[in-house]
Amino acid sequence: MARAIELHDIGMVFASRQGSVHALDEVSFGAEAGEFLCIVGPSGCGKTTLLKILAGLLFASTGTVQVNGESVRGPISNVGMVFQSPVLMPWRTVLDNIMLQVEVRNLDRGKYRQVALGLLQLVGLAGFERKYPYQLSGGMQQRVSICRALIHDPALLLMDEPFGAIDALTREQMNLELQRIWLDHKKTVVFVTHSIPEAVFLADRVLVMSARPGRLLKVFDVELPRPRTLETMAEPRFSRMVTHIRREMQAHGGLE
Amino acid sequence: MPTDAALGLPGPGRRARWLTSPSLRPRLLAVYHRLAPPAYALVALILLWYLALFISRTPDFILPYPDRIVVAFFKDAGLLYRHTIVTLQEIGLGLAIGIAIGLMGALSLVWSRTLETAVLPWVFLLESTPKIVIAPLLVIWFGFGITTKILVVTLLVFFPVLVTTIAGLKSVETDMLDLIQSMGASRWQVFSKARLPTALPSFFSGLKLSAALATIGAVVGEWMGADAGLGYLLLSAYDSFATPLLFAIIVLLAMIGTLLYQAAALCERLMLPWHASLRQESTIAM
Repeated sequence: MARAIELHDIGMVFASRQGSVHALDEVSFGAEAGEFLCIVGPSGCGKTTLLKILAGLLFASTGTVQVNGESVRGPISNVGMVFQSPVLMPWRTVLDNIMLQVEVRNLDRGKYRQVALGLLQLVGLAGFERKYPYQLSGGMQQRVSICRALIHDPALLLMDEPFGAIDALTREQMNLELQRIWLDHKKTVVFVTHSIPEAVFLADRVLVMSARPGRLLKVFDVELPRPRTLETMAEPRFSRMVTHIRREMQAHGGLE
Repeated sequence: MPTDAALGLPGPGRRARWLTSPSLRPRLLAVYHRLAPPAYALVALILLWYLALFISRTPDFILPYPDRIVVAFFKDAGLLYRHTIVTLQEIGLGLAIGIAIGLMGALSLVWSRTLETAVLPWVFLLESTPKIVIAPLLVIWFGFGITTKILVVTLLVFFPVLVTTIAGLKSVETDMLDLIQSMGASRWQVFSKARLPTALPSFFSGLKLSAALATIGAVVGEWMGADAGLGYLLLSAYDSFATPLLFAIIVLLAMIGTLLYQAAALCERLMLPWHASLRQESTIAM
Protein backbone atom coordinates (compact mmCIF):
# COMPACT_ATOMS: atom_id res chain seq x y z
CA MET A 1 0.00 0.00 0.00
CA ALA A 2 1.15 3.51 -0.77
CA ARG A 3 2.34 5.71 2.08
CA ALA A 4 -0.03 8.32 3.44
CA ILE A 5 2.25 11.11 2.31
CA GLU A 6 5.44 11.13 0.30
CA LEU A 7 7.47 14.22 -0.54
CA HIS A 8 10.45 13.89 -2.81
CA ASP A 9 13.14 16.51 -3.41
CA ILE A 10 10.85 19.46 -2.76
CA GLY A 11 12.37 22.80 -3.65
CA MET A 12 10.66 26.17 -3.59
CA VAL A 13 11.82 29.47 -4.99
CA PHE A 14 9.67 32.59 -4.65
CA ALA A 15 10.16 35.47 -7.04
CA SER A 16 10.09 38.83 -5.32
CA ARG A 17 11.09 42.39 -6.13
CA GLN A 18 14.43 41.97 -4.36
CA GLY A 19 15.16 38.88 -6.42
CA SER A 20 14.28 35.29 -5.82
CA VAL A 21 13.94 33.81 -2.35
CA HIS A 22 15.02 30.24 -1.90
CA ALA A 23 12.54 28.92 0.65
CA LEU A 24 12.96 25.14 0.49
CA ASP A 25 15.75 22.95 -0.76
CA GLU A 26 15.62 19.20 -1.45
CA VAL A 27 13.16 18.30 1.27
CA SER A 28 12.15 14.64 1.23
CA PHE A 29 10.13 12.76 3.79
CA GLY A 30 7.11 10.55 4.10
CA ALA A 31 4.64 9.29 6.64
CA GLU A 32 2.69 6.09 7.18
CA ALA A 33 -1.03 6.27 7.72
CA GLY A 34 -1.82 7.21 11.30
CA GLU A 35 1.61 8.62 12.00
CA PHE A 36 2.11 11.86 13.94
CA LEU A 37 4.88 13.99 12.44
CA CYS A 38 6.12 17.24 13.93
CA ILE A 39 8.22 19.68 11.97
CA VAL A 40 10.35 22.07 14.02
CA GLY A 41 12.59 24.79 12.71
CA PRO A 42 13.44 28.46 13.08
CA SER A 43 11.14 31.21 11.82
CA GLY A 44 11.13 31.58 8.08
CA CYS A 45 12.47 28.12 7.40
CA GLY A 46 9.63 27.36 5.05
CA LYS A 47 7.57 25.15 7.39
CA THR A 48 4.33 26.82 6.43
CA THR A 49 5.25 26.73 2.75
CA LEU A 50 5.92 23.02 3.07
CA LEU A 51 2.51 22.48 4.63
CA LYS A 52 0.79 24.43 1.88
CA ILE A 53 2.63 22.43 -0.78
CA LEU A 54 1.45 19.27 0.94
CA ALA A 55 -2.12 20.57 0.92
CA GLY A 56 -1.89 21.39 -2.76
CA LEU A 57 -2.43 25.09 -2.10
CA LEU A 58 1.03 25.96 -3.43
CA PHE A 59 3.04 24.29 -6.15
CA ALA A 60 6.63 23.35 -5.47
CA SER A 61 9.23 24.64 -7.92
CA THR A 62 10.82 21.20 -8.02
CA GLY A 63 10.07 17.76 -6.70
CA THR A 64 6.95 15.64 -6.32
CA VAL A 65 4.25 15.28 -3.69
CA GLN A 66 2.03 12.25 -3.28
CA VAL A 67 -0.85 11.78 -0.89
CA ASN A 68 -2.18 8.23 -0.64
CA GLY A 69 -0.20 7.34 -3.73
CA GLU A 70 -1.71 10.08 -5.87
CA SER A 71 0.24 13.03 -7.19
CA VAL A 72 -0.93 16.37 -5.78
CA ARG A 73 -1.96 18.73 -8.58
CA GLY A 74 -4.41 21.00 -6.79
CA PRO A 75 -5.97 21.42 -3.35
CA ILE A 76 -6.28 17.91 -1.91
CA SER A 77 -9.69 17.03 -0.56
CA ASN A 78 -9.27 14.43 2.15
CA VAL A 79 -7.64 16.88 4.53
CA GLY A 80 -8.37 19.04 7.55
CA MET A 81 -6.36 22.20 8.16
CA VAL A 82 -5.68 24.18 11.32
CA PHE A 83 -3.81 27.48 11.21
CA GLN A 84 -2.03 29.56 13.82
CA SER A 85 -5.05 31.83 14.06
CA PRO A 86 -8.44 30.11 14.36
CA VAL A 87 -9.68 31.66 11.06
CA LEU A 88 -13.27 31.52 12.19
CA MET A 89 -15.94 33.47 10.35
CA PRO A 90 -17.13 36.15 12.77
CA TRP A 91 -20.64 36.15 11.26
CA ARG A 92 -21.16 32.44 11.94
CA THR A 93 -21.91 30.78 15.24
CA VAL A 94 -19.56 28.15 16.61
CA LEU A 95 -21.72 25.38 15.16
CA ASP A 96 -22.07 27.08 11.78
CA ASN A 97 -18.32 27.61 11.61
CA ILE A 98 -17.79 23.88 12.00
CA MET A 99 -20.59 23.20 9.53
CA LEU A 100 -18.85 25.32 6.88
CA GLN A 101 -16.76 22.24 6.10
CA VAL A 102 -19.97 20.23 5.63
CA GLU A 103 -21.71 22.89 3.54
CA VAL A 104 -18.81 23.41 1.15
CA ARG A 105 -18.42 19.67 0.69
CA ASN A 106 -22.16 19.20 0.18
CA LEU A 107 -22.44 16.56 2.89
CA ASP A 108 -25.61 15.62 4.75
CA ARG A 109 -26.21 18.51 7.15
CA GLY A 110 -28.58 16.76 9.48
CA LYS A 111 -26.20 13.88 10.06
CA TYR A 112 -23.08 16.03 10.46
CA ARG A 113 -24.82 18.42 12.84
CA GLN A 114 -24.78 15.57 15.34
CA VAL A 115 -21.12 14.89 14.57
CA ALA A 116 -20.32 18.56 15.15
CA LEU A 117 -22.09 18.56 18.51
CA GLY A 118 -20.20 15.41 19.46
CA LEU A 119 -16.88 17.02 18.54
CA LEU A 120 -17.71 20.12 20.58
CA GLN A 121 -18.34 17.82 23.51
CA LEU A 122 -15.02 16.12 22.86
CA VAL A 123 -13.09 19.41 23.09
CA GLY A 124 -15.06 20.59 26.13
CA LEU A 125 -17.23 23.13 24.37
CA ALA A 126 -20.63 21.48 24.78
CA GLY A 127 -23.28 24.18 25.08
CA PHE A 128 -21.26 26.75 23.15
CA GLU A 129 -22.67 25.90 19.72
CA ARG A 130 -24.79 29.04 19.48
CA LYS A 131 -22.03 31.43 20.61
CA TYR A 132 -20.18 33.67 18.20
CA PRO A 133 -16.38 33.54 17.93
CA TYR A 134 -15.91 36.93 19.62
CA GLN A 135 -17.62 35.53 22.71
CA LEU A 136 -14.90 32.88 23.05
CA SER A 137 -11.31 33.05 24.29
CA GLY A 138 -8.44 32.35 21.91
CA GLY A 139 -8.01 28.80 23.20
CA MET A 140 -11.71 28.06 22.77
CA GLN A 141 -11.69 29.48 19.25
CA GLN A 142 -8.78 27.24 18.31
CA ARG A 143 -10.70 24.21 19.64
CA VAL A 144 -13.57 25.15 17.35
CA SER A 145 -11.20 25.30 14.39
CA ILE A 146 -9.93 21.83 15.32
CA CYS A 147 -13.50 20.53 15.33
CA ARG A 148 -13.95 22.08 11.88
CA ALA A 149 -10.83 20.27 10.66
CA LEU A 150 -12.09 16.94 12.01
CA ILE A 151 -15.79 16.90 11.18
CA HIS A 152 -15.52 15.27 7.74
CA ASP A 153 -13.20 12.64 9.21
CA PRO A 154 -10.23 13.39 6.92
CA ALA A 155 -7.34 10.93 6.69
CA LEU A 156 -4.81 13.75 6.94
CA LEU A 157 -4.61 16.61 9.42
CA LEU A 158 -2.29 19.54 8.65
CA MET A 159 -1.62 21.86 11.57
CA ASP A 160 0.41 25.04 11.22
CA GLU A 161 1.56 26.19 14.68
CA PRO A 162 -2.00 25.80 15.93
CA PHE A 163 -1.16 26.60 19.55
CA GLY A 164 1.47 29.24 18.86
CA ALA A 165 -0.73 32.12 19.97
CA ILE A 166 -2.07 30.43 23.09
CA ASP A 167 -0.81 30.89 26.64
CA ALA A 168 1.45 28.20 28.09
CA LEU A 169 -1.09 26.65 30.47
CA THR A 170 -3.85 26.34 27.88
CA ARG A 171 -1.28 25.09 25.41
CA GLU A 172 -0.36 22.08 27.57
CA GLN A 173 -4.05 21.34 27.91
CA MET A 174 -4.54 21.55 24.15
CA ASN A 175 -1.58 19.22 23.54
CA LEU A 176 -3.14 16.63 25.83
CA GLU A 177 -6.49 17.00 24.07
CA LEU A 178 -4.93 16.74 20.64
CA GLN A 179 -3.14 13.55 21.64
CA ARG A 180 -6.38 12.11 22.98
CA ILE A 181 -8.24 12.96 19.76
CA TRP A 182 -5.42 11.50 17.68
CA LEU A 183 -5.35 8.29 19.73
CA ASP A 184 -9.11 7.98 19.18
CA HIS A 185 -9.13 8.73 15.47
CA LYS A 186 -5.64 7.65 14.34
CA LYS A 187 -5.22 10.20 11.58
CA THR A 188 -2.00 11.06 9.82
CA VAL A 189 -0.92 14.38 11.32
CA VAL A 190 1.69 16.83 10.13
CA PHE A 191 2.14 19.40 12.87
CA VAL A 192 4.38 22.43 12.44
CA THR A 193 5.68 24.10 15.59
CA HIS A 194 8.33 26.40 17.05
CA SER A 195 8.40 24.55 20.31
CA ILE A 196 10.72 21.57 20.66
CA PRO A 197 9.04 20.24 23.85
CA GLU A 198 5.66 20.42 22.12
CA ALA A 199 7.05 18.49 19.16
CA VAL A 200 8.57 15.80 21.36
CA PHE A 201 5.41 15.53 23.42
CA LEU A 202 3.16 15.01 20.40
CA ALA A 203 5.19 13.33 17.69
CA ASP A 204 6.06 9.83 16.62
CA ARG A 205 8.83 11.46 14.63
CA VAL A 206 10.29 14.96 14.83
CA LEU A 207 11.64 16.50 11.63
CA VAL A 208 14.19 19.23 12.23
CA MET A 209 14.61 21.90 9.57
CA SER A 210 17.34 24.46 8.99
CA ALA A 211 16.99 28.19 8.44
CA ARG A 212 16.42 29.46 4.91
CA PRO A 213 16.67 27.78 2.55
CA GLY A 214 14.77 25.19 4.56
CA ARG A 215 16.45 21.80 4.49
CA LEU A 216 15.61 18.69 6.42
CA LEU A 217 18.48 18.37 8.92
CA LYS A 218 17.55 15.29 10.85
CA VAL A 219 14.67 13.05 11.82
CA PHE A 220 14.23 11.91 15.43
CA ASP A 221 12.09 8.95 16.43
CA VAL A 222 10.30 9.63 19.69
CA GLU A 223 9.80 6.34 21.48
CA LEU A 224 7.99 7.58 24.57
CA PRO A 225 4.97 5.41 25.40
CA ARG A 226 1.44 6.70 24.86
CA PRO A 227 -0.65 8.17 26.17
CA ARG A 228 1.90 10.75 27.23
CA THR A 229 0.99 12.88 30.21
CA LEU A 230 2.28 16.08 31.74
CA GLU A 231 4.49 13.83 33.91
CA THR A 232 6.09 12.51 30.73
CA MET A 233 7.58 15.97 30.26
CA ALA A 234 9.37 15.62 33.59
CA GLU A 235 11.01 12.34 32.62
CA PRO A 236 14.77 12.34 31.90
CA ARG A 237 14.38 10.74 28.49
CA PHE A 238 11.95 13.48 27.50
CA SER A 239 14.39 16.24 28.39
CA ARG A 240 17.26 14.27 26.82
CA MET A 241 15.34 14.21 23.57
CA VAL A 242 14.55 17.92 23.75
CA THR A 243 18.20 18.76 24.46
CA HIS A 244 19.27 16.56 21.59
CA ILE A 245 17.06 18.32 19.10
CA ARG A 246 17.99 21.75 20.42
CA ARG A 247 21.71 20.92 19.97
CA GLU A 248 21.02 19.81 16.44
CA MET A 249 19.33 23.11 15.67
CA GLN A 250 22.02 25.18 17.38
CA ALA A 251 24.73 23.36 15.48
CA HIS A 252 23.17 24.75 12.33
CA GLY A 253 22.73 28.22 13.74
CA GLY A 254 19.03 27.88 13.49
CA LEU A 255 17.71 28.79 16.91
CA GLU A 256 15.97 32.08 17.41
CA MET B 1 -39.57 37.51 46.45
CA PRO B 2 -41.77 36.32 43.57
CA THR B 3 -42.62 38.99 41.04
CA ASP B 4 -46.15 39.88 39.99
CA ALA B 5 -45.66 38.24 36.63
CA ALA B 6 -44.47 35.03 38.28
CA LEU B 7 -47.61 35.03 40.40
CA GLY B 8 -49.70 35.42 37.28
CA LEU B 9 -50.99 38.89 38.15
CA PRO B 10 -52.43 40.92 35.26
CA GLY B 11 -50.93 43.81 33.27
CA PRO B 12 -50.52 46.75 35.66
CA GLY B 13 -48.30 44.71 37.95
CA ARG B 14 -46.01 43.94 35.06
CA ARG B 15 -45.70 47.56 34.08
CA ALA B 16 -44.89 48.50 37.64
CA ARG B 17 -42.17 45.90 37.70
CA TRP B 18 -40.64 47.44 34.58
CA LEU B 19 -40.64 50.91 36.17
CA THR B 20 -39.17 49.78 39.46
CA SER B 21 -36.71 47.35 37.90
CA PRO B 22 -33.44 47.80 39.77
CA SER B 23 -31.41 47.87 36.54
CA LEU B 24 -33.47 50.71 35.06
CA ARG B 25 -32.16 53.54 37.24
CA PRO B 26 -28.47 53.17 36.36
CA ARG B 27 -29.39 52.81 32.71
CA LEU B 28 -31.47 56.00 32.73
CA LEU B 29 -28.61 57.69 34.53
CA ALA B 30 -26.19 56.55 31.85
CA VAL B 31 -28.45 57.93 29.11
CA TYR B 32 -28.69 61.20 31.01
CA HIS B 33 -24.90 61.45 31.31
CA ARG B 34 -24.55 60.81 27.60
CA LEU B 35 -27.22 63.26 26.41
CA ALA B 36 -26.97 66.05 28.96
CA PRO B 37 -23.63 67.66 27.98
CA PRO B 38 -24.47 68.13 24.27
CA ALA B 39 -27.94 69.41 25.27
CA TYR B 40 -26.37 71.97 27.59
CA ALA B 41 -23.96 72.98 24.84
CA LEU B 42 -26.89 73.60 22.49
CA VAL B 43 -28.72 75.69 25.09
CA ALA B 44 -25.53 77.68 25.71
CA LEU B 45 -25.10 78.30 21.99
CA ILE B 46 -28.67 79.55 21.62
CA LEU B 47 -28.30 81.85 24.63
CA LEU B 48 -25.05 83.18 23.17
CA TRP B 49 -26.85 83.69 19.86
CA TYR B 50 -29.57 85.79 21.56
CA LEU B 51 -27.00 87.72 23.55
CA ALA B 52 -24.85 88.52 20.52
CA LEU B 53 -27.85 89.67 18.48
CA PHE B 54 -29.19 91.71 21.38
CA ILE B 55 -25.86 93.52 21.84
CA SER B 56 -24.94 93.97 18.18
CA ARG B 57 -28.48 94.75 16.94
CA THR B 58 -27.81 92.77 13.76
CA PRO B 59 -30.71 93.03 11.29
CA ASP B 60 -33.03 90.10 10.77
CA PHE B 61 -32.00 89.37 7.19
CA ILE B 62 -28.38 88.79 8.20
CA LEU B 63 -28.97 86.67 11.29
CA PRO B 64 -32.47 86.15 12.69
CA TYR B 65 -33.32 85.31 16.28
CA PRO B 66 -33.72 81.53 16.79
CA ASP B 67 -37.43 81.87 17.55
CA ARG B 68 -37.95 83.56 14.13
CA ILE B 69 -36.58 80.37 12.54
CA VAL B 70 -39.06 78.27 14.50
CA VAL B 71 -41.84 80.61 13.37
CA ALA B 72 -40.67 80.25 9.75
CA PHE B 73 -40.95 76.50 10.14
CA PHE B 74 -44.61 76.71 11.09
CA LYS B 75 -45.61 79.62 8.86
CA ASP B 76 -44.16 77.97 5.73
CA ALA B 77 -44.89 74.40 6.78
CA GLY B 78 -46.91 73.62 3.64
CA LEU B 79 -44.27 75.08 1.34
CA LEU B 80 -41.44 73.28 3.13
CA TYR B 81 -43.36 70.01 3.06
CA ARG B 82 -44.03 70.19 -0.67
CA HIS B 83 -40.39 70.86 -1.55
CA THR B 84 -39.07 68.36 0.97
CA ILE B 85 -41.05 65.61 -0.76
CA VAL B 86 -39.44 66.49 -4.11
CA THR B 87 -35.93 66.47 -2.67
CA LEU B 88 -36.57 63.23 -0.79
CA GLN B 89 -37.70 61.60 -4.05
CA GLU B 90 -34.48 62.67 -5.76
CA ILE B 91 -32.40 61.43 -2.85
CA GLY B 92 -34.28 58.14 -2.55
CA LEU B 93 -34.16 57.21 -6.22
CA GLY B 94 -30.58 58.46 -6.63
CA LEU B 95 -29.45 56.45 -3.60
CA ALA B 96 -31.22 53.31 -4.78
CA ILE B 97 -29.74 53.49 -8.28
CA GLY B 98 -26.29 54.54 -7.04
CA ILE B 99 -26.10 51.75 -4.45
CA ALA B 100 -27.30 49.17 -6.98
CA ILE B 101 -24.76 50.25 -9.62
CA GLY B 102 -21.96 50.52 -7.06
CA LEU B 103 -22.70 47.09 -5.64
CA MET B 104 -23.04 45.37 -9.01
CA GLY B 105 -19.95 47.15 -10.31
CA ALA B 106 -17.91 45.99 -7.31
CA LEU B 107 -19.12 42.40 -7.62
CA SER B 108 -18.34 42.16 -11.33
CA LEU B 109 -14.98 43.92 -10.99
CA VAL B 110 -13.81 41.48 -8.34
CA TRP B 111 -15.38 38.46 -10.03
CA SER B 112 -13.84 39.02 -13.47
CA ARG B 113 -10.06 39.13 -13.66
CA THR B 114 -10.21 40.90 -17.05
CA LEU B 115 -12.47 43.67 -15.79
CA GLU B 116 -10.36 44.03 -12.69
CA THR B 117 -7.10 44.59 -14.56
CA ALA B 118 -8.66 46.87 -17.18
CA VAL B 119 -11.13 48.93 -15.14
CA LEU B 120 -9.99 48.92 -11.52
CA PRO B 121 -7.03 51.30 -12.10
CA TRP B 122 -9.47 53.81 -13.59
CA VAL B 123 -11.80 53.45 -10.64
CA PHE B 124 -9.02 54.27 -8.19
CA LEU B 125 -7.82 57.15 -10.36
CA LEU B 126 -11.31 58.67 -10.65
CA GLU B 127 -12.03 58.13 -6.97
CA SER B 128 -10.13 61.26 -5.98
CA THR B 129 -11.65 63.52 -8.65
CA PRO B 130 -14.57 65.84 -7.83
CA LYS B 131 -17.53 64.03 -9.36
CA ILE B 132 -19.84 67.02 -8.91
CA VAL B 133 -18.22 68.87 -11.85
CA ILE B 134 -20.04 66.54 -14.22
CA ALA B 135 -23.37 67.97 -13.07
CA PRO B 136 -23.61 70.70 -15.82
CA LEU B 137 -23.03 68.05 -18.43
CA LEU B 138 -25.92 66.03 -17.03
CA VAL B 139 -28.16 69.11 -17.39
CA ILE B 140 -27.20 69.38 -21.07
CA TRP B 141 -27.99 65.71 -21.61
CA PHE B 142 -31.08 65.28 -19.45
CA GLY B 143 -32.56 68.76 -19.09
CA PHE B 144 -33.95 70.44 -15.99
CA GLY B 145 -36.28 67.64 -14.92
CA ILE B 146 -36.00 65.30 -11.97
CA THR B 147 -33.85 62.84 -13.99
CA THR B 148 -30.84 65.14 -13.79
CA LYS B 149 -31.16 65.52 -10.02
CA ILE B 150 -31.45 61.78 -9.54
CA LEU B 151 -28.38 61.24 -11.68
CA VAL B 152 -26.33 63.81 -9.75
CA VAL B 153 -27.20 61.95 -6.55
CA THR B 154 -26.36 58.65 -8.26
CA LEU B 155 -23.04 60.06 -9.42
CA LEU B 156 -22.00 61.07 -5.91
CA VAL B 157 -23.38 57.98 -4.20
CA PHE B 158 -22.12 55.21 -6.40
CA PHE B 159 -18.38 55.80 -6.01
CA PRO B 160 -18.06 55.32 -2.25
CA VAL B 161 -20.18 52.17 -2.44
CA LEU B 162 -18.12 50.84 -5.35
CA VAL B 163 -14.73 51.54 -3.80
CA THR B 164 -15.48 50.37 -0.26
CA THR B 165 -17.20 47.21 -1.48
CA ILE B 166 -14.25 46.36 -3.73
CA ALA B 167 -11.88 46.91 -0.80
CA GLY B 168 -14.09 44.70 1.38
CA LEU B 169 -14.31 41.91 -1.19
CA LYS B 170 -10.54 41.89 -1.51
CA SER B 171 -9.86 41.95 2.21
CA VAL B 172 -10.34 38.23 2.84
CA GLU B 173 -7.36 36.81 4.72
CA THR B 174 -5.05 34.40 2.92
CA ASP B 175 -5.61 31.81 5.65
CA MET B 176 -9.36 32.03 5.10
CA LEU B 177 -8.91 31.48 1.37
CA ASP B 178 -6.52 28.58 1.99
CA LEU B 179 -8.98 27.08 4.45
CA ILE B 180 -11.97 27.19 2.16
CA GLN B 181 -9.89 25.91 -0.77
CA SER B 182 -8.81 22.96 1.35
CA MET B 183 -12.51 22.15 1.62
CA GLY B 184 -12.64 21.91 -2.15
CA ALA B 185 -14.72 25.07 -2.54
CA SER B 186 -15.88 26.15 -5.99
CA ARG B 187 -15.26 29.71 -7.13
CA TRP B 188 -18.83 30.59 -6.33
CA GLN B 189 -18.56 29.10 -2.83
CA VAL B 190 -15.41 31.11 -2.11
CA PHE B 191 -17.33 34.18 -3.24
CA SER B 192 -20.60 33.59 -1.45
CA LYS B 193 -19.31 32.06 1.77
CA ALA B 194 -16.10 34.03 2.33
CA ARG B 195 -15.79 37.16 0.18
CA LEU B 196 -19.32 38.49 0.30
CA PRO B 197 -19.83 38.35 4.09
CA THR B 198 -16.32 39.70 4.65
CA ALA B 199 -17.17 42.69 2.46
CA LEU B 200 -20.35 43.66 4.31
CA PRO B 201 -18.75 45.91 6.97
CA SER B 202 -16.89 47.85 4.26
CA PHE B 203 -20.03 48.06 2.16
CA PHE B 204 -21.87 49.60 5.09
CA SER B 205 -19.17 52.22 5.70
CA GLY B 206 -19.55 53.10 2.00
CA LEU B 207 -23.28 53.26 2.49
CA LYS B 208 -22.91 55.68 5.39
CA LEU B 209 -20.63 57.90 3.29
CA SER B 210 -23.20 57.77 0.49
CA ALA B 211 -26.03 58.72 2.81
CA ALA B 212 -24.13 61.88 3.69
CA LEU B 213 -23.35 62.69 0.04
CA ALA B 214 -26.86 62.05 -1.31
CA THR B 215 -28.28 65.26 0.17
CA ILE B 216 -25.43 67.30 -1.33
CA GLY B 217 -26.13 65.74 -4.71
CA ALA B 218 -29.83 66.58 -4.63
CA VAL B 219 -29.25 70.19 -3.56
CA VAL B 220 -26.51 70.83 -6.12
CA GLY B 221 -28.65 69.18 -8.80
CA GLU B 222 -31.46 71.58 -7.97
CA TRP B 223 -29.07 74.53 -8.01
CA MET B 224 -28.28 73.72 -11.63
CA GLY B 225 -31.87 74.67 -12.47
CA ALA B 226 -35.14 73.47 -10.97
CA ASP B 227 -38.64 74.59 -10.08
CA ALA B 228 -39.06 72.49 -6.96
CA GLY B 229 -37.08 70.95 -4.11
CA LEU B 230 -35.32 72.28 -1.02
CA GLY B 231 -32.27 73.34 -3.04
CA TYR B 232 -34.51 75.41 -5.28
CA LEU B 233 -36.33 76.84 -2.26
CA LEU B 234 -32.97 77.65 -0.66
CA LEU B 235 -32.01 79.77 -3.68
CA SER B 236 -35.35 81.58 -3.82
CA ALA B 237 -35.23 82.30 -0.08
CA TYR B 238 -31.74 83.68 -0.66
CA ASP B 239 -32.95 85.82 -3.57
CA SER B 240 -35.62 87.44 -1.44
CA PHE B 241 -33.47 87.73 1.70
CA ALA B 242 -35.94 85.51 3.58
CA THR B 243 -33.21 84.55 6.03
CA PRO B 244 -35.41 82.84 8.65
CA LEU B 245 -36.78 80.57 5.91
CA LEU B 246 -33.21 80.00 4.70
CA PHE B 247 -32.28 78.81 8.18
CA ALA B 248 -35.35 76.59 8.36
CA ILE B 249 -34.31 74.93 5.08
CA ILE B 250 -30.73 74.47 6.32
CA VAL B 251 -32.00 72.80 9.50
CA LEU B 252 -34.31 70.60 7.43
CA LEU B 253 -31.51 69.49 5.09
CA ALA B 254 -29.25 68.80 8.06
CA MET B 255 -32.00 66.66 9.55
CA ILE B 256 -32.46 64.73 6.29
CA GLY B 257 -28.71 64.06 6.09
CA THR B 258 -28.55 62.91 9.71
CA LEU B 259 -31.59 60.69 9.39
CA LEU B 260 -30.21 59.02 6.26
CA TYR B 261 -26.91 58.37 7.98
CA GLN B 262 -28.62 57.00 11.08
CA ALA B 263 -30.83 54.77 8.93
CA ALA B 264 -27.73 53.31 7.26
CA ALA B 265 -26.09 52.85 10.67
CA LEU B 266 -29.23 51.10 11.94
CA CYS B 267 -29.23 48.70 8.96
CA GLU B 268 -25.59 47.98 9.74
CA ARG B 269 -26.34 47.19 13.37
CA LEU B 270 -29.25 44.94 12.45
CA MET B 271 -27.43 43.05 9.73
CA LEU B 272 -23.97 42.75 11.29
CA PRO B 273 -24.50 42.11 14.99
CA TRP B 274 -21.19 40.23 14.96
CA HIS B 275 -19.16 43.13 13.61
CA ALA B 276 -16.25 44.13 15.85
CA SER B 277 -17.03 47.83 16.07
CA LEU B 278 -20.64 47.17 17.08
CA ARG B 279 -20.57 44.38 19.61
CA GLN B 280 -21.06 44.94 23.29
CA GLU B 281 -21.20 41.51 24.85
CA SER B 282 -17.99 40.69 26.64
CA THR B 283 -15.76 37.71 26.04
CA ILE B 284 -16.25 34.62 28.13
CA ALA B 285 -13.07 34.09 30.08
CA MET B 286 -11.57 30.63 29.91
